[in-house]
Amino acid sequence: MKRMFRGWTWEATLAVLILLCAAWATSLSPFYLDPDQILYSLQQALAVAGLLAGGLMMIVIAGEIDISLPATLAMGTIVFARMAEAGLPLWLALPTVILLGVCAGLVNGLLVVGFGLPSLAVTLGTMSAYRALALWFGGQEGHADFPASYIWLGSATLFGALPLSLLLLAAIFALLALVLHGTVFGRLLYMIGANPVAMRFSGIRVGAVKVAAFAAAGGITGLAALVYVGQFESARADNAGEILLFVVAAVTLGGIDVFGGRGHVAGVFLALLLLGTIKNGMGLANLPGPVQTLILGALLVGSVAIPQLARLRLRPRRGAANPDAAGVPRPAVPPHGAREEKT
Amino acid sequence: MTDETQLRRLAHRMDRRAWLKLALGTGLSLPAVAALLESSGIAVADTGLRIFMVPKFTGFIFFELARAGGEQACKELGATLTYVGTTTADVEGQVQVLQNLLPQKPDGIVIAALDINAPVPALRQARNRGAIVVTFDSDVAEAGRDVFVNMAPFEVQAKAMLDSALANAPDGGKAVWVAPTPTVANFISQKKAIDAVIASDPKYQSIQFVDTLYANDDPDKSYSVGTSAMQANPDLKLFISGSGISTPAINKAIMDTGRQGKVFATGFALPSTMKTYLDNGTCRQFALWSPYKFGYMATYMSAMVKAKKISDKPGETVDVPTIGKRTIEATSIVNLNSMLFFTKEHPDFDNAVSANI
Repeated sequence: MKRMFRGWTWEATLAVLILLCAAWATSLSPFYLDPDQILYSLQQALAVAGLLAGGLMMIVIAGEIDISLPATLAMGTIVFARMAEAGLPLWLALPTVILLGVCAGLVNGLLVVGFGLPSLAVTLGTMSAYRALALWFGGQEGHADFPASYIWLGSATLFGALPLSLLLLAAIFALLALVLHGTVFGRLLYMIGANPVAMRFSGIRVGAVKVAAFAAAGGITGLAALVYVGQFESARADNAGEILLFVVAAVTLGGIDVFGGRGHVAGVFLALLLLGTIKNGMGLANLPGPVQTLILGALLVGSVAIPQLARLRLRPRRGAANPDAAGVPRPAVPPHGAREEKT
Repeated sequence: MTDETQLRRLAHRMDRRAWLKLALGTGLSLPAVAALLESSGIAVADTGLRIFMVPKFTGFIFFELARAGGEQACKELGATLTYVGTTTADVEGQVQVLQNLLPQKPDGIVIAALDINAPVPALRQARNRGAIVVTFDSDVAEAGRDVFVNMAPFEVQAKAMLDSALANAPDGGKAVWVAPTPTVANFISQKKAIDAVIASDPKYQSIQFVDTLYANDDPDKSYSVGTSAMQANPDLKLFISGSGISTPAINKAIMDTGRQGKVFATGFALPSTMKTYLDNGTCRQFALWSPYKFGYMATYMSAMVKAKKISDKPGETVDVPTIGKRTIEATSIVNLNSMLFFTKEHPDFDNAVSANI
């Protein structure tokens, strides 16, 4: 009960920020306040990046990171393109690409767990490897000949305005919330992220759970590849080269601790909406590119630094303090000392 | 308008941007920044045609000059130009920029596309809503644009490179063509045009191509490919490349191996990457098209087609101020056809020697 209340505070902060940003965007541009415009813009900003953030969230909660997801996405779009060119139906292509994503995630997970390597280094390496595979399989040129069935998920709208890919994003996040907050697997992810050593001593198969998180993120990325193909009607090996900043910003701004072990699914979803609204507002106001990148980067740093600073200030009064005062989500499992012991 | 004023204006704009960064850095809130922008006139457009220029990415001198050209065209035509883009070559980001233009109902979009396909769905929507889309520097699929302003026909590009080669080595000699890979269409066409020009014009017949090398648009690869070619052919005189990355890298290889004055590398390159080699005589001349006129012409076309003052139908001839008469070719392609030559005395975009070949 208490935990739920604590989580609620950060999400409420995000919700308030979304409203403030929407108001700001309205004041900045007369074109903002139009449901069609807002939905279309959110689709463009979030449909693909949001799915990646959903996958990454699981990995970060388990105390790891995966920066190869955009490369996996590119690989997926290339495979879709090649399968479309070969005239294969979607019901064959989609499972293939999702499976490919799962395999890419498995490789990441097994390298991290099997050899005890830092996930940042491993996925930096596999990122290049997956890009190379995409390049090798797709060549340097772009692919654009997709049948209508391939494009449907990423481009169709319900009732003429509601993008299907946004509904898909919401559905995946609902599923993720269910898994992370309502299943044993989800609880294990949090506990492993907070204190892997204690989990190992408790007889939990820490490695298997982590590998599963990597694989699941890969699978979601495979699905994101289909959304990408529908949204851009294009596949190229260097697709989504710049998406990582946005994805990581969404995860950290959503209140997921970069060191693992805490944060809520709803927070990441709201952070996505917030970032989408900010991007939309900045775009409509025609802010210069450097300013937009600067703001996004500042949000990323801020979202990592502010909880950390708040925690430092709270530490002396630990136990007696009310952490909600700072609007900082508190851990599901107290991480006290966990980070120092983590191997 | 002189090039000097262009640059001064450019510098002024940079200042404004620096101010913005400073303001953000010192912790000004978003609304304050917005107010600042509004007061500086970036965010608001008012009367006349509203043209949006979307570069491949911002902050790069080539596109900043194209922007200056576009602003000049808008000034002459009573239109306003808004320049928006991402800071890096970000395909999805460019598409989002376009998507954010849609609700603003632009009259014209002038874009250097990062991908031939990805921007097409957004551009198609913009065209359906009445925008005239003009691509420059790099095209999109035809469904996405009304006109493509090409830098120059391949024959003109070829002559510009060969003229530069002769400016380096007046007596010609053995030459090597450096391309990124065997498959990039642009470079295949450039080389074919070079061969055709040499075959038909005696002026260039002293240049004999002995080999074609592939350097993958990569500086390190270009450097090593250049070095080994010079070892393999002791009497080699010229490297000619249409790759702006290979040309300076091979110049470095020539400089490092002490072959200055014996071998020359020329073709196309960005002046900023070549200054050292022009200064110390490793390279005497190279070429590129004028980004200022590029931006000017693309913006001019967009505004004039929207105003129905000119037609974008193939076969039409358009008289572009300061550039000249240009005929729109099949699939609505029109050539800028204005080359710039860079030498030690004229090393920058703002003082390069321009020529219509």
